[in-house]
Amino acid sequence: MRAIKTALPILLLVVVILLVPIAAADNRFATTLAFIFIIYTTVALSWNIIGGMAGQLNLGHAAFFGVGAYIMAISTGSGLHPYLGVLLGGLAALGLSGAMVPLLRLRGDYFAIGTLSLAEAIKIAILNIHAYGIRVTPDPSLGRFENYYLASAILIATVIITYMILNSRYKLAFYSIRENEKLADVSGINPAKYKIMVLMISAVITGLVGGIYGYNLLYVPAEHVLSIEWTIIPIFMVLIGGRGTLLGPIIGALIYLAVYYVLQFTITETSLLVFGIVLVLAIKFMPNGLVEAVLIKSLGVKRTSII
Amino acid sequence: MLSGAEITYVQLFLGALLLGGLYALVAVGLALIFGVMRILNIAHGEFIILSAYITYWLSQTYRLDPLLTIILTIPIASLVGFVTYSAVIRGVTKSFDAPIVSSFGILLILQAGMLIAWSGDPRSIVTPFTADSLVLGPYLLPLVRLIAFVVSVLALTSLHVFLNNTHLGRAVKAVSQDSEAASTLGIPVSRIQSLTFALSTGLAGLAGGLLSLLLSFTPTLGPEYLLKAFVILALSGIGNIPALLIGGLVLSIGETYGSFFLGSGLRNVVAYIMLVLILLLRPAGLFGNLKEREV
Repeated sequence: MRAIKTALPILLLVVVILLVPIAAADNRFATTLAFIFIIYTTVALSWNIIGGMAGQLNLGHAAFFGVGAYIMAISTGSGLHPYLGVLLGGLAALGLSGAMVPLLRLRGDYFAIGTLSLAEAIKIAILNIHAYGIRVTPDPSLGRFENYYLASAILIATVIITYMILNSRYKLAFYSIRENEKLADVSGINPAKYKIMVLMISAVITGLVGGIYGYNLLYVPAEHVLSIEWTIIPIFMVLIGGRGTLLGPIIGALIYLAVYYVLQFTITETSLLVFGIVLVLAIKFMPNGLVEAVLIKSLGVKRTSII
Repeated sequence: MLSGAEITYVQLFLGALLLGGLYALVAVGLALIFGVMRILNIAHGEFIILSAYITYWLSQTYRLDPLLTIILTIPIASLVGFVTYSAVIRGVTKSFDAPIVSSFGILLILQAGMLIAWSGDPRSIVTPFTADSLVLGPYLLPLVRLIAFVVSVLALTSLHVFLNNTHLGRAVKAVSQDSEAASTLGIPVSRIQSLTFALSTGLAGLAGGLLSLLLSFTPTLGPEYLLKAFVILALSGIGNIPALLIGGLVLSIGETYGSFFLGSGLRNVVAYIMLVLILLLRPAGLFGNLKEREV
């Protein structure tokens, strides 16, 4: 029964997403907005797997996104089919996550700084090579419509992966690593194995999203695709909505998009300021996210278990 | 007789040596907060850059002597840190690294605030003695770097003396070793933590003020200094001030020669490679002795 309760709004959302380009064919604005929503939601859900479920505070998420977009641009530039380029972008992000495995040895806060500095170092290195970004030559048969559905497919796959994790034993392993890694270790869970797993899953998804985002933009500026905003935004969404849940990041994405809309679609100093303030307040006053806060209020229950 | 290349290398070494003291000062604030509160303050770099801007602002607005403005910057930075800590970090749940997310929020707020106040254009402070150097045979010791080095070493030494030889300093050390035991001994742990935060941001104030004399700065440079501080802590551990100084020197020497041979754009990549190497060579992780506290 509970499973149906969460599945229903999500199914509804998926249907709406799939119908937007058809129903609003003349309305480019609605389609663009929906595309952005898909991109952000997928990035948030992928960060949720490593940061929300397994509690590994990855502050280098932007590196996956940027490297995905960047590799897509390079491989498409050398004549490869764009969507194969997107796939390569995902694989490149997977490779990068392999390089990040040694960082997983670090405890929470060190892992955060290690990943943050790795992302910054990658950004600086790429900016040194391509200061002005790469232009992508569009394939005439693959326009915004096709890109939209590829992005939706990635989103749906991510939703399914999240749903499957949350209804399997993996959920318990991830949650116990998040709550107390040492305890998980002595309880027979191999933290290293699961941490590598969540890192790789979230890397592949983010790399793919970065690739399709870059192709849809037809221009990949390193400054933008590797920008720290691709780390901030998913964290914002996950923490506002609720860590380690399926619905939380989606609700967070909706809220974020509303803020983004009010702030005129630009990542400016003002929006950074707003996000900073909301983040700080959210952590202070509802550390478990909106879903939980509303749930507690409406049902009058407080969770007692450690998960 | 020394060849031209040799003179260049030695000159680079001297410049790095003088910068290393400042790097240690950059790291010590991060180490203090981590030691006493077990919070990794991601916004530490932002406090440093903010201080550089405060120094800049004071010297521009009131036409004060740069060295005097640095002295004024310290209490201001300290106050900003104290207010931030009281309003944002104190009382936050300790589960799931919540304090680090809070400090990430502070990073965003400070960075955005600085961008709004001073735009993203690089700023620097030119003092009457910026171009002066002490001549030492064939080598030049830039005066500002010399000042920064001497002041940093003096500050680190006085912090060392404070922590080891005063009642209050020993209370800080006690809290960092075992806050519960310290609490049962009558040490006001919460007050010591607030004090530590103010002390740490005050040190960031000094570091930022000195930095503003040496290098140009922009509001988004914070994470770069955080990375430097982190590399130094990875090298020398926390709680050992002389070791921090050595760590600062190693980093600045590595960076200087790295950017000399690879190009200045890759300066931070050198720092990151050093970090990864340390992690690989010390598989037990950093600060191995502190890892046991979790259970």
